[in-house]
Amino acid sequence: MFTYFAHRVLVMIPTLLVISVITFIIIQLPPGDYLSNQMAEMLSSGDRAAMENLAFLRQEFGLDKPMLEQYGVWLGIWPGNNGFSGILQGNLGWSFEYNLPVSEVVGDRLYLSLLLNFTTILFVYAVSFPIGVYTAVRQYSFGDHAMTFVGYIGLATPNFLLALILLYLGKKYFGVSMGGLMDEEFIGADMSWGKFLSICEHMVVPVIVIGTSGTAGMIRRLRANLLDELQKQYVTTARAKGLKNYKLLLKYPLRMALNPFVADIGNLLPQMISGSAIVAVVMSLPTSGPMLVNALQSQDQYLAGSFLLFLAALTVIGMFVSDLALAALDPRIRLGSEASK
Amino acid sequence: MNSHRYPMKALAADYMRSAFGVLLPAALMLFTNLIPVVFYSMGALILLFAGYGLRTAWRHGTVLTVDGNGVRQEGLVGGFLDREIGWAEMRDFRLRYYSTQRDRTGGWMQLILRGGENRGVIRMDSHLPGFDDIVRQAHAATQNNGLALDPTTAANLSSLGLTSADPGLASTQEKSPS
Repeated sequence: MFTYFAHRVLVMIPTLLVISVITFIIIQLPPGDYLSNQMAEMLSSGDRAAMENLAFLRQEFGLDKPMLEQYGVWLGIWPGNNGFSGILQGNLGWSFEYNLPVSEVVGDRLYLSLLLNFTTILFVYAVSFPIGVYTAVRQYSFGDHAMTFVGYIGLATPNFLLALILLYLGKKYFGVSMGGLMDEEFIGADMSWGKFLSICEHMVVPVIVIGTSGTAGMIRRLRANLLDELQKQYVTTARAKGLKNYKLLLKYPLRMALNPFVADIGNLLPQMISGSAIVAVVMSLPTSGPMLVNALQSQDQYLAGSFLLFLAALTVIGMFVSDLALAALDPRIRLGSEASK
Repeated sequence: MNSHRYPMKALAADYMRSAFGVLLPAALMLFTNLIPVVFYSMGALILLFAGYGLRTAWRHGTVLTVDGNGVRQEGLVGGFLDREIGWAEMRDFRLRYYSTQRDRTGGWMQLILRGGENRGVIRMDSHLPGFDDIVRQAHAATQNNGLALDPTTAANLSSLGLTSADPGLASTQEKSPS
């Protein structure tokens, strides 16, 4: 396992580097940059002083340098005008749109995104595990049909639609506004017990909204896998030998059925992040999603790049955890048709 | 009696991994001014890959001797990590498969043998020449000792052509000592 751990870490390093390159290329792909767009506007209005300022910024941030050098400076592996001063040194760059350092613009958004997505994953697992096991063990019972129905509703309903429905119902029947991720008095304030409680209260609805489709999918997968295992001959043999049902279930079938469940951690993270971006716009959540969309639209390259890199790193770490858990749970060889699944 | 050593070809790749894993973070720590969280992460990477390098060096000096009585591991560290497990006293047999690729190909197997009291554990992997023969002998000992196999081991054994293809069936069959 130690060898696997070391090999897997080693795979992660080039993966992150490649992701950072792709991220940088993507944010550079549209013609021009934020400053050149601004310059075009200044030219048309004849604002000479502002144009000089923009030219200074262009030189200051090395936007006139080759792309490879810009990338190295951005990441912090190549010295820029201020020596090594990139992401690895904690300098996320400058937001041209807000005219502030990216770290100040981002503020708590990255942490709140992380908290929201992490809580959603916990919610998905906490809800889908017992329901998945129940529906497999009690196949075709009333409970199974009821859960299956709820699961299909969850799968078929777009997150943003569910968010809108809950916002409407909350306002109409309870008179509360469910938007945001904390009460207004705590926005911009330092973390306190009151702010933490406010975040917890406001997070319930977004977590349900973002997690519903993931939960429904996970229930279906766990149910199908467990049913497959329960029909195998070793289960029949164990039953014939008089092993009690719950002992039999816990010993092997459940462990085997957990594999895809664990393997899905890696897939779940990108789904959550992309899903939460749309929900965040609908529910006015102060997470990274809406700001990322704005940054991409306005070509605020350092802001967009920081968000994309953070989210990609989160996904790579999720895949890493998922692979480690899978290797610990079931280090089996899978060849032929199983390998391609 | 057969003696087995890890070939330099397999070890060279591990030495290179270790060197890469130590030198890249060390260069970043030395030449750039990292923020604390990145600095400590790089430190952890250096420790991890230094450990990996030491382990590779230990494997480099290890000789595994297998005969009809059991398996013996002799190596560096002044005999501190030397082990000997007789087939008759073997109490656990596990065969694991690890791969870092998405399609799970190109991986390696690890054999874990556990002896009786105070006999310790012997680990070896499929880079060792003659690995299949050692697995075959250890599996025969497992059957003679009436040991149960977990489904993972059974499935991996079947991939080597040693047991039934159905891991569950194989495990239940072998739980009954002959």
